[in-house]
Amino acid sequence: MSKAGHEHFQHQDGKLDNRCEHECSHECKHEHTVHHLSQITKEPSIFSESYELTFSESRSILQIQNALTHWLNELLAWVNNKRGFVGHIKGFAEGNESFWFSSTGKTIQAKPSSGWSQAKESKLTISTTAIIFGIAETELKDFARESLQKFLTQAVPDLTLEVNDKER
Amino acid sequence: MKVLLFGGFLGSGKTSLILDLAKFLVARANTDLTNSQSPSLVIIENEVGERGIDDKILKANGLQVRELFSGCICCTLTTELTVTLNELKETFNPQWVIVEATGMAYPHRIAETIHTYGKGIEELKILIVADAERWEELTEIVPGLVEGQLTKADVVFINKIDCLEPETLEKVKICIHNLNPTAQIFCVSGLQGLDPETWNKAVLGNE
Repeated sequence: MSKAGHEHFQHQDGKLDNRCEHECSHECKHEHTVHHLSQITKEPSIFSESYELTFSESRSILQIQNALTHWLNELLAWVNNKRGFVGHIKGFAEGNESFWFSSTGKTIQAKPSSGWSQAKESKLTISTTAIIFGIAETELKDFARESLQKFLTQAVPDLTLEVNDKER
Repeated sequence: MKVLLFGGFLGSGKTSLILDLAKFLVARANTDLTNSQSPSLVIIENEVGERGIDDKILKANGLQVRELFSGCICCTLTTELTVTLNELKETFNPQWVIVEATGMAYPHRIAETIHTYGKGIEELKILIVADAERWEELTEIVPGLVEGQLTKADVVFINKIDCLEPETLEKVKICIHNLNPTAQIFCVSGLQGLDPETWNKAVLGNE
């Protein structure tokens, strides 16, 4: 999202800003996390990267699916611990078959193409985007990247992993 | 060329509903013997982030997609949107164009741009997807955005009703009706898919 545009998250009616001028010691009717977010949220931080995965031989890609699920769970827990707010986390893995997943911090939605579970692939492209409020972008990018690469290389130790910066 | 403009907060389920709608429209076009040779549907995707996800999901399902990235079509990419729409009209003249806005856009601003600069557009509808599962959180954290997206919608889909108790859903429905009394409201689950009858009413206006 371009920073040159307007601030999409300005509180047009001022309700939240007014409520959050006070200290936190009193009893709030809303949740504490939400209370803090209302003070710090303007534009989200975005992690958005694509990876080219190459395997030494054609293989089942279910381990990659599991790795992506572990990554998503770890990222959600990290955002929660940091009192951030999930806008949306989503990803798409594509070889001859494809698999996509997403979460808003509640349940995880996942949908494979019909042949995914039986497919054997030698190459896979993974695209991921995490849109998070209330956490610095560099911090988000560092954590998300490190965590993703960790789970992928744990799942398939012989993979070659390259960041794809050619898409746009 | 009819334009369906989809908005709604991040993660509300816009892409899932668009996928469902696209299947409905393509199936309908395929059974229409009077249909011309022009493609029935093109989707314009505007996404947050450097790497598109939604466009890939839609393309993997065999749909024609145009991407507009690195900006927002409600503010920084208005010219690009107009150029894309007018080019589509001239080159393909599809029956339907679905525009998926980012979850942080105000769709009525996009509609203003299309009304002002779009050529040959027979009809434009604003369809907003509301995330029922996160309704309480979102109206606490981003009330201005949620209200701004909903108040000028023609159609509102209250999505993820499979995650809610009926009483909670009723409260959400009342809130949305109070924000926009003229909108058609449909309670749906994108996960489970929509009844064709819902698309008939919401998109084609067939009661």
